[in-house]
Amino acid sequence: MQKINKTDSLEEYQKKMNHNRRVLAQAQAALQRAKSAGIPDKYMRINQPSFESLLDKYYHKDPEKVADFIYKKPLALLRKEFIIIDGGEAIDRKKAAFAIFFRLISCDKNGINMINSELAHKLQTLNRSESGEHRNDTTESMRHYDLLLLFEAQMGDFTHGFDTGRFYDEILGYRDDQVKPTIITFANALSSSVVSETADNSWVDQTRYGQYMGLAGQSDSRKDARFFRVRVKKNG
Amino acid sequence: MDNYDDVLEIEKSFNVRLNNEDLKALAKKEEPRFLSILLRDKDCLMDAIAFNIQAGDEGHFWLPKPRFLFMVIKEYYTKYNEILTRTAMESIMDSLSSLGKIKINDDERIAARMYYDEVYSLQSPIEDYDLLREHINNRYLQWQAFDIMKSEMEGLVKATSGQDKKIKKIQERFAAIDNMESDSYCGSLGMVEAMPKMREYITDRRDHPENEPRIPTGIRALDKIYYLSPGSYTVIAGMINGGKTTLMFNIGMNMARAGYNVVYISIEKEAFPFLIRLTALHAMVDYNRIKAGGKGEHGLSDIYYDKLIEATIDLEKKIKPNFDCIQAVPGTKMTKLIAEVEKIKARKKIDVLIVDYLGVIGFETNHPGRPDLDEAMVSKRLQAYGKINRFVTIAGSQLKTPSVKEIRNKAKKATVDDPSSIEINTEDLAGSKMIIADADNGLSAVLNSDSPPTKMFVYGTKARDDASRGCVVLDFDGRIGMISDPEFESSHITEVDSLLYDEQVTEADLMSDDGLFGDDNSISALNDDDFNFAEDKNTINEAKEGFIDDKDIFDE
Repeated sequence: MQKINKTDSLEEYQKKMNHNRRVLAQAQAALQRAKSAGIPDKYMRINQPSFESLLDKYYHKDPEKVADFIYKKPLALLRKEFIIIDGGEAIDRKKAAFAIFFRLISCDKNGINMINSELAHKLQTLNRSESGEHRNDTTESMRHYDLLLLFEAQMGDFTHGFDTGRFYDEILGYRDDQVKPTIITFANALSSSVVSETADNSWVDQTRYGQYMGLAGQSDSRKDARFFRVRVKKNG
Repeated sequence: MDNYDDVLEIEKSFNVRLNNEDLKALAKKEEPRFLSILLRDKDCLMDAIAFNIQAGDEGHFWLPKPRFLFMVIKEYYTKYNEILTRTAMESIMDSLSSLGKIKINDDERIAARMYYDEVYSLQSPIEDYDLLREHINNRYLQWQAFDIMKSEMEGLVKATSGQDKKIKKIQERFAAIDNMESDSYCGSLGMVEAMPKMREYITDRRDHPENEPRIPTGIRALDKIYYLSPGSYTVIAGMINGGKTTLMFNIGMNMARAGYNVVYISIEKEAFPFLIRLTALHAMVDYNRIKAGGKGEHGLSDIYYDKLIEATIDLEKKIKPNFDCIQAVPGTKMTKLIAEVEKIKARKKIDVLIVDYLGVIGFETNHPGRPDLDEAMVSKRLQAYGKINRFVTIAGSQLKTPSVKEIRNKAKKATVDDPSSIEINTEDLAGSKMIIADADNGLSAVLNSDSPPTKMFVYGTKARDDASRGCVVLDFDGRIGMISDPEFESSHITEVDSLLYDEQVTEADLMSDDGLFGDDNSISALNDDDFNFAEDKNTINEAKEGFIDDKDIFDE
């Protein structure tokens, strides 16, 4: 913010005030967007040191570099289709996810956050909900947000025998094509569940959670440039 | 010239139009001068024909000889597309044996040739053309009106029944007076005649791109796409409370600041509050602070008060001569509004006419059950008036109510980087399609979904070329009513970041105007009765520190 002095001429004052008003308006708008996106006050404006302290230094080697990338180069982060957060405790994953979500929202983006089980449930509901929303409507609206944050995806969210995966693929596939980042926190890797549950029937699970969710949920997606993985440290 | 009056037999068939010697003397003086221009300048001749200057017995010319000469000039142009030369006149007169039923003899031929020479030798300046045309047309109108009165008045005076019908007939005859509509505008330009001008124009555009005959809006993003040239007509559409007035007055203010004479017709809003908004914009002070008043937290603290006063002085000195606001109540008719503009025009040249907005102007036509057509007529009238007077004309218009919800949803999806979801087409505009179809430019303004809105999306609803299609994103500050080019790009967020991630800055601080004055500075610190505003405080501290250091040195 540029300092305005009482002695400034009208022209100087206009110039500085114009600049300051824009900066303040952007900050105010970012806060409003964050609120609209459902970020609780508690998780609003988490700064870089706080975020960095959440990272698993054994996985990341250089947590400062990761935090720097997120906080200093948010535009590069916006070019990642999937931001995966795993490891640690649920509360820390949530904190890290909201920190990244807020960081990206402040770059003039809008977004929505949702617990994954809630979304899966919506997509499993064949009829219209009480609010009159059909799962096709949900799919349509989830596609278009600049940012989508899904919390705590796990195998249990995707019930056997439902075609939820197709809807997930529609949402995540569109977002992937349009380079609209989706942030997903995982309680555990989906792929390990696949192996343990149905080693020879993986196509059944693909139908349950879809191709994209399956990819995102693999324990190692680091080789794929579309993915950006953040691992949260375990307490103690 | 009077010497030949009796020579031409053809004159005998004409009657004296009005018993007004002064008028006749004026006609005698002006009609040959007018013709003298038509014999030399093809553009003026084309304009005279386009203006519907009549050659016949009941035409524009008072005197028979000018009437005859104009008839020959016009016939020749119609046939050969050229001005009448002396040689052409000779050959026409040689081949002309009669004029209607009247035979033409040799003396008359000689008289006509001599009259041509006389008129040609007058060499009246071409600059006088517009004035002479206006005078000739006015006398023509006067004669037509007199003729109606002469033939109808006696019947009306003596009437004992059916007076209403007689009056209606007079009304109709008056309404049918030829060339009365001063808005009529017509011109023609052939491809062949245009090409030399085209070469000049293209060369000039190449050598002097800055000479482009258009008035910039002052918003670069719009100027890159839209050409608001003199005579152009631009429709700006928006939803209720959707920023179209703000956009129009920002454009108007920018144009006035750039030195153009702007007339803003505000039909919805009163002129004084409107000008308060302009002053607030100039001083970059929240308009609501003026409304709230007082010196309190939400009122006019010293810094705001000082800047507002400075702004009024600045506006008085720099802007006032260029910005006029006409205040009218909803339902005021276009004729009345034009009359008000004419009053200003009589005092000074007008470059820009902004009308806020079409929907509240009173109708002067009546299409039963089709108010949209009446509104289209209002728009047409405004467009024609602007075109004739070479104004940049900008008119506001509403978006259709059923389209508004959909457009709002589109705006929610649009972002600065990707405004492509915004699409507002001609069918989304309220009223008749004729309004947007006739306009040179059609812009639709929508605010983004931030609360308060921070961006305005301006979509090219009607454009002359593909480059004008698409959406422009502008910065919008609703509190001071400012629309400007986006200064920020997504990458320029360092300052915003420092505010957002500064633990010392609370959310309440962010929402308050206090933060506008820079670090460690506040409105209260800038109050007159508070001497310790930040800069002074720092200076004092520095001085103190300096003093202590000096003392230490001396002690040593």
